[in-house]
Amino acid sequence: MPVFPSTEWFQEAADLLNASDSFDRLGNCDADVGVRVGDRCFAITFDAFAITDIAEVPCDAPGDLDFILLQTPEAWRAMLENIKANGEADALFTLNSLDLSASNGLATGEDYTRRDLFYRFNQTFQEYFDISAQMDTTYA
Amino acid sequence: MAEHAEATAGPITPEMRAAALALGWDEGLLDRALDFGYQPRTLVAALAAKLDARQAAGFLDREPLKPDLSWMDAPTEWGVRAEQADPEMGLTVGDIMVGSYGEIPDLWTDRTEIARGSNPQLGQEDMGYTIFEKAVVWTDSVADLYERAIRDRWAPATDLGWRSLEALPDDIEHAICQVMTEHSERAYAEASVLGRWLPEISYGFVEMKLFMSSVIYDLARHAEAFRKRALANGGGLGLQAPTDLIRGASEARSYPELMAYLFVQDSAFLTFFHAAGDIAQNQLERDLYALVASDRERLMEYQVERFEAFLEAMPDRREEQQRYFAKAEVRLAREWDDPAVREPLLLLLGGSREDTAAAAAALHALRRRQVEEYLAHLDRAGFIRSRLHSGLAAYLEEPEAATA
Amino acid sequence: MSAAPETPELDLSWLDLYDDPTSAEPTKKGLTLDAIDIGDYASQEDLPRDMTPRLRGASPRENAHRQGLTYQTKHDVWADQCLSLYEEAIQRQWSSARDIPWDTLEELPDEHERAMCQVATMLAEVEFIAGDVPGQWLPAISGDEFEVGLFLMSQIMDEARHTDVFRKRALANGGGLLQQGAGLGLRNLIEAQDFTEMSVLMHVQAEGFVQSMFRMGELIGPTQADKRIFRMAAQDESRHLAFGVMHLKHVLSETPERREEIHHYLDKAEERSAGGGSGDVTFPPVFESLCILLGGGKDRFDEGVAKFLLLRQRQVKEYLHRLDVAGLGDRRERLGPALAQYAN
Repeated sequence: MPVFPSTEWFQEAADLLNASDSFDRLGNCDADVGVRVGDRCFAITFDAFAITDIAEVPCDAPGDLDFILLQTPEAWRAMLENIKANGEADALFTLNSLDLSASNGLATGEDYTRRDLFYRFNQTFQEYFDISAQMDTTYA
Repeated sequence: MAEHAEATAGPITPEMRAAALALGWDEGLLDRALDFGYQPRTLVAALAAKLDARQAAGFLDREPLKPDLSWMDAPTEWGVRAEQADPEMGLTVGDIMVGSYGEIPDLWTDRTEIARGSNPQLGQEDMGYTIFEKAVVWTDSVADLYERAIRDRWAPATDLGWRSLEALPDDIEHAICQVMTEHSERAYAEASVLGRWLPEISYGFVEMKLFMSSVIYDLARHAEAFRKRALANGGGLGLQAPTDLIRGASEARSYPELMAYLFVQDSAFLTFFHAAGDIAQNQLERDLYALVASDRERLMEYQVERFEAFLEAMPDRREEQQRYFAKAEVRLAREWDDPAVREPLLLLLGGSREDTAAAAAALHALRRRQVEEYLAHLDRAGFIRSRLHSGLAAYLEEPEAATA
Repeated sequence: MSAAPETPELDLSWLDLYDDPTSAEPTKKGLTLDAIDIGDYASQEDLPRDMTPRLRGASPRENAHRQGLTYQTKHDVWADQCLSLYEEAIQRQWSSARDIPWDTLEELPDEHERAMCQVATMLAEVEFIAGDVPGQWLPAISGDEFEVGLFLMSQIMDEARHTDVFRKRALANGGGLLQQGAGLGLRNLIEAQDFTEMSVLMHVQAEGFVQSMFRMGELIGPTQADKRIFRMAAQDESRHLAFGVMHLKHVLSETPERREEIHHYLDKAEERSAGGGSGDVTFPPVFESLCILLGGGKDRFDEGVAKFLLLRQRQVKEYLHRLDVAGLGDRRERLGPALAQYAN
């Protein structure tokens, strides 16, 4: 059972998404997405019609990311548990809703043009996390 | 701060006061807001919004806003629950054309930006639309055509087998590139002309505008796909397309004129793309022509049905249309004789520049089919050309001697 | 039998135009516009423009008609990334008929359904003009920047889909269309006399505000269908917004002398409406319906107002941040009063 957060967890979700019809249905997606959970950071590369790379990166030098999804470990867990319970995120736990609810936003980044990729490809990112409903996640 | 100590025993928590203080709100604002009748949860929401002192005072230091809510009783049709007629197609535009929302007026009179079926707001600006007559733009199939366009969409970048292309003899590759150059420009130019007419059409005919938007989108992808083919296999772009035909479309002074004029080329090109499998050199080109033809069929269906409805509603304008068709026919015939239009087809039909006699006969047959189908399209619309331009009529004759 | 067309001698001069054999290579995303933007066919600053329908790279005809005035410099219309934005638009098209889970609509309390229908009425109106405006500008774009034209054509399709999906929403769940919007700010868009004026007002300002509203729509949408509508529409709107920001950035970079002129367009738009082309969200039917949905009902209207203020703050904050990215950071100091009240 994959542990969240870990490269294994993000990779398993990526494998599921790559094997699904998501990219065929929604189209390509190009973004270097960061995910920060407490003091651990991960870089997820969406390249054309697949997630092509997952890596744990140092939070103080995460590399050239378009934006970083940032919330507390408890908030991440609440989101993933909501997804697991409903098969997909419900009203208050979609990435976009969480972004709106957080005072500084969930998607963070200095350059709004790059941060706007969060909105341009939002449904793809949502399906990436929603697909974790198929996984038996444990939490670190 | 005795007041505060007393108040914190009530619905305003110390955390709320601390938050208000941090935001610079007036010291007694939370308490006054409660006195005005605001609920504590509203104060929490306002604190969460991080309103600055000025904003907070503007919102909370007054009686709560009383919504008017008269819009809830707007005299429009209420209780509509559109049903999907075909689950395969989903909830279509046709499905929501129910009750008063499905009534398309013969004459739309509202000059403002108003969603047809909503309640007009007095005092709105004239948006400058010029097309208010249903008969000018409408045919009942537009909603269906629009949904079909969306269902059948394709992407040139990924739906064609670009990696399957193989090198061709130079003359053949360059002939293909010339055909692609021509049709890329023609598609782009037609989309550009149609786009200019969108702001002229009022909201009364929204479904038609949706369809026309899909046509523009189709033409964009055709321009894109043809260009990509020209640049994908060792060739390049050729000579610019002749400009007479499209120039006539941009000269149109009314939408009926535009459509009558474009009818000629839309019909001729549809037939061409249907037949273009004969000049295709590989599967990619066969697929490309077939996809384009599929899109253009929707456009032609609109053309025929709109024209039929137009003639029926406005019989006094029937003779006028002859002029527009004549203008388009003469230009089309002239362009068919243009070397950069004609000769690439001869090379592709004949396979080389050396022996084009058979190719000339094949091209004659193609042009004949284009003219015949054009006349058949007009016939379906209930329109007889009083005098087909001689340059097109000639193709209806058998070739006496087709020599290169 | 009358004479059939004669077959003239072959000219074949059109065969002698290929001195730069080109074989674009497909990428992971197929054969994209970026992939064919190569060699002599690539976009360049200093190409002579001829005002004919010729697309960049084709050999000119000596007798080609001019077809009206077109912009003669690239930076008048260009946006970096417009090639990839167009391809993204093609790939990420969606269907309002089949990609929205309409079966998740459920009967709502009357006040919620009416509020949702009022918002849908306003958006079905606003998105209508957002297709007209790019259509109006297509003939002004030179064939040397045809990719900009293609992007606008994709936007026309996007806006048609938005018009249709909000109309569908209003008519799919026991409601109907309600009150026409105020229309404030919409005329600004169609009145523009310059491409950059149009793009700044429509792509950056109006679509930026609408994008914020779409994102908020996921919070106010009562059903999964509503949420999906707003999320999918927000994706499209973000693409248009990206075009506008990149165009403005290009213009300010290449022609910094236009800075005051662009401020002037924004001065006019900001003083004319609080919504800047987004249908004016302060118009009572729109404002009240949003507050009902945000608050959770008529009896929680005040709470909705507080959240509405947050929405407006976010709209204005993001508007200013995007202008900053584009190089117009000093807009913050001269923001019109209708927007300045939300800037903190």
